Amino acid sequence: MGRAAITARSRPQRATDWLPPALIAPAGVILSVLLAYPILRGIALSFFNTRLLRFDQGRYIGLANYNALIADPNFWNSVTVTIVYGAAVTICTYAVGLALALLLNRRMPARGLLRTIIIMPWAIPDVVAVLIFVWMLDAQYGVINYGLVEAGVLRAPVAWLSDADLAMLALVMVTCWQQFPLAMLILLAGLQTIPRELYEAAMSDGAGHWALFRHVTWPGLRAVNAVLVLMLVLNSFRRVTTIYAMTAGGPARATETLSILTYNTAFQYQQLGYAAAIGTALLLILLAFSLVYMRIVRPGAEA
Amino acid sequence: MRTGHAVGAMLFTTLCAALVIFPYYWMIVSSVSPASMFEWPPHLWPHTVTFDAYERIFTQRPVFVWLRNTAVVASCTAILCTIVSINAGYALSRFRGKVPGAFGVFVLLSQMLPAALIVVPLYIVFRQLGLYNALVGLAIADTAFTLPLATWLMRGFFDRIPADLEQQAQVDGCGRLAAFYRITLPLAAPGLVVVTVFSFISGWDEFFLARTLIASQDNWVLSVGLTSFESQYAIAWDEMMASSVVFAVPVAILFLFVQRYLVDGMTSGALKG
Amino acid sequence: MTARPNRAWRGLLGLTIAAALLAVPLSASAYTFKYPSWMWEEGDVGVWHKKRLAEFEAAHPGIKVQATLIPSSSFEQTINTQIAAGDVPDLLPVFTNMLAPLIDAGALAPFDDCIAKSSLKDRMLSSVSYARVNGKTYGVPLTMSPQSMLVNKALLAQAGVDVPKTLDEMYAAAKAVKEKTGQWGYAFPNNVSSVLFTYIQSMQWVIGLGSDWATPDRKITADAPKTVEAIRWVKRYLDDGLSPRGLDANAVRTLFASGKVAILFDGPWVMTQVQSSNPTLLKDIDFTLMPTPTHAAVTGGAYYTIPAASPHKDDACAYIDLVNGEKVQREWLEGLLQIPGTTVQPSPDFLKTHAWVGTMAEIAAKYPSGLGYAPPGFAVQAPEFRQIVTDHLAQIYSGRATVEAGLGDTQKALERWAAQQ
Repeated sequence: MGRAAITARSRPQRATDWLPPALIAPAGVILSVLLAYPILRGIALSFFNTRLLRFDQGRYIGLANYNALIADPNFWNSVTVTIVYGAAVTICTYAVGLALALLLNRRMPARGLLRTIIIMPWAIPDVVAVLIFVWMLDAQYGVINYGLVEAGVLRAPVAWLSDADLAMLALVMVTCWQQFPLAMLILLAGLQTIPRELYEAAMSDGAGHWALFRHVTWPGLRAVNAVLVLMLVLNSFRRVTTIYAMTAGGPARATETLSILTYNTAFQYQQLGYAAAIGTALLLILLAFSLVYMRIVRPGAEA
Repeated sequence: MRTGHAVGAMLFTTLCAALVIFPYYWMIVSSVSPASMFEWPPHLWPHTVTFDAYERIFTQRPVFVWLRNTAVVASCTAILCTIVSINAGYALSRFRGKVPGAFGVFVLLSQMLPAALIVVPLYIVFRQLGLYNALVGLAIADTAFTLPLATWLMRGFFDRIPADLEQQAQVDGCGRLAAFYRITLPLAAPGLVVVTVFSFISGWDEFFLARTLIASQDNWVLSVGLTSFESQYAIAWDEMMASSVVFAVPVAILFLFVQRYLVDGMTSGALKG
Repeated sequence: MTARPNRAWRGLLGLTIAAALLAVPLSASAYTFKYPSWMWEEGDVGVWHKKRLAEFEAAHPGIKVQATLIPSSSFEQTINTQIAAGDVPDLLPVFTNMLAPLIDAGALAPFDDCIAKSSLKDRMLSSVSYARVNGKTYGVPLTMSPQSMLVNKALLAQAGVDVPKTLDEMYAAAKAVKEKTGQWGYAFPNNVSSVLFTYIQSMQWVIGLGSDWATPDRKITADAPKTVEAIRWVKRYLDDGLSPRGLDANAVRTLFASGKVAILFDGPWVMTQVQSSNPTLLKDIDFTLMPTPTHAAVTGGAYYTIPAASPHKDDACAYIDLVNGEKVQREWLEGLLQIPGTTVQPSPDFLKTHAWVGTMAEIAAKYPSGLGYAPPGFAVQAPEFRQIVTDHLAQIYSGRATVEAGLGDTQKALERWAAQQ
């Protein structure tokens, strides 16, 4: 009612309201020139047999790229890899983020300092994070091998990045390290919006730690969770720099997510048209996921 | 007993913090003790400390120039992104209609974009606009990628601020825009901090666009410069680690100052669906 | 938004330049000559290139050479993106693996006329053949070094063995080194995430035994007996713990340069690395013949090329002539310790102190060489070919597949892929 009132009062005549479009215009221009146009060009490319070095000589081939895609085992491998990576990263990041948020939401000495230290990984650029971890995971001199051997977890140093399973594990670990601070901050913010009275009321009913978490904290985080999980999933599906710099999709395509397959197909194999089809497929998968996700999450979040 | 709990929690949190921060520590150790880098077992505490690598990166490589360029790109991204997203976010929050609705869908879509899909078209657009190989151009590109999320965050902050306040100001003779800038915007200050920091970091960290849209070495940013430490035949690990420290520390310091506002900002910002 | 005025301005500028061009003879016109490279800051190599740049600018007043540095790790992608978007350099150095796709796409100009006019034509390396298609030459070597065996003689001596001359001797030597000194007998890049290096390494063995992954007429030979034998050798070093696992090419070189590896197959750049990072070790290192039956050395390096869309081909030709002058080529060999792009005779004085350079030149001349990047029939689609081979080598090296089964799968996968091409 309030909003309608503003509009009505300042513009009694029913002329088109210039303010919203004017305020959105700068964003609209930037996004349409630098995102929308390239995306449309990109999607259009997926119907051509364009090669990178013959950019202007692509021929229209209809759905041929998509037909090839469906028959391509590498594509399906990447679908699996993307799902495994996305799920592992989301779960790991969320769990670590939530655990630390719960910890830091408690009163304790030096909380500000600890909170600052714990969000520090967020300040590390992707390129640097990869450099540090590649060095720490080094098969020969890596400090992670050293730590695990000393702790008795490993009997001998392992070659993290050249073993299919270990490479995925390492990648999930690095991504999680990079992302959990943001998750933690968002969750911490969510925790602080839960009214204290709810806790006090529950405690006076004699609720234990677990009951408090289940009946007060968890429902209180519902709205935040909905956004955060979607964000984490989308981020992990799109991530390029970390994976590319660390394993480039190897060993033996074990970490070749759809983003990386798109990149490799475009720039290693130079099949730009086919790469565009993979990229578009990724876009469609994410779109479908988001729609379904919001269907499931929405009713709860609105409450 | 309560304090006992608090101290216990602190100790445990400290342990977690130590684990989280270890990569930082190891980066710094590796940058100051290159001699022991290739030894097994590794020395958790450096035996000899030398700042040779730092001296070399600042004298033999244009790390200063890269640092400056990175700062320029990150600041421009932060300023541009914040200004543009404030206005767009406000419009999305206060007015309902087709434009804001379409924009919302676009925000979501842009979060799903595989970067490899648009690199070549983007490159062509940049050359046509004369933005190729320009720091400002890179900042604009970074803004384009950060803007959707920033706008969406801003909208959340404005949603929390009652429109009645603006209404009151308008009754007192303020224009609609003046009411927004003088009344609503200051109330959204914690949100501004979040969006500014967020876009600054995006500009600071970005690698993929920087590599594609910047050509000459004078215009490189640090993320691109770092990759040049790996020559065809060898990697200068100590210099790479030293540059990484140089790269990470400014943002870390920024965090020291703003972390309090970050949590406050996020708390006041409605992170709602 | 700003596109229009900008374009109008450019149009005006273009007209002005065109008018200026008409007024003065072409060769004297002022313009920027675009020459991107990964070598501008590469130590002494960079210094060498900058000297040539200064000489070129001095000889061609009015031409400003724009020396853009592109890191080697992203060179191929950056150049390909630029060419795709119509932004073309005037002189373009390319890695050997970039050559075939660029020629195939019509992105390079043949420059036989230019070569015919240059003194370069009398000193051409045979590897120029990799840049020839249908009798036209699209590139001349910039540097071309054979990858052969490097040995740490001190480690071998400690283990009580000689420099190996056969594969059996090599295995025995590696075993002795591991057992008696605790250091690695033989090291090779087997971080299979790095497709290119894993492939090149496999080639050292495969051509060493006289095979290849495919024949020039595109018949796949991944399960040929000699190929199987080659990979079986490699696997043995891993299985018996004589070689470190999971290292990439740079890590292997660093390990060798710190004296912890007895045998390595690599190029002369390792000598340069030892010289700069661990000079005391240099006297113990030798660059010598491959112990494989064919002694074949994988050859790799880079070429100078001229993009087809460059408007300054004559000047590019002059630049190529300049960098291939005999004097500066000798400086490359004796100063940088790498085989330059042309045949030059090292001076006797130099050979006295650097005998291994003589050996290297002899290896390059005497034994069959092969490109480590792709079989001859698949040069254009090489990245996919290498990926398929490496995917399967990963299975074999990690023990998920036996050598025979793994290579059988490789054969099938390559045949299936080749049929689609």
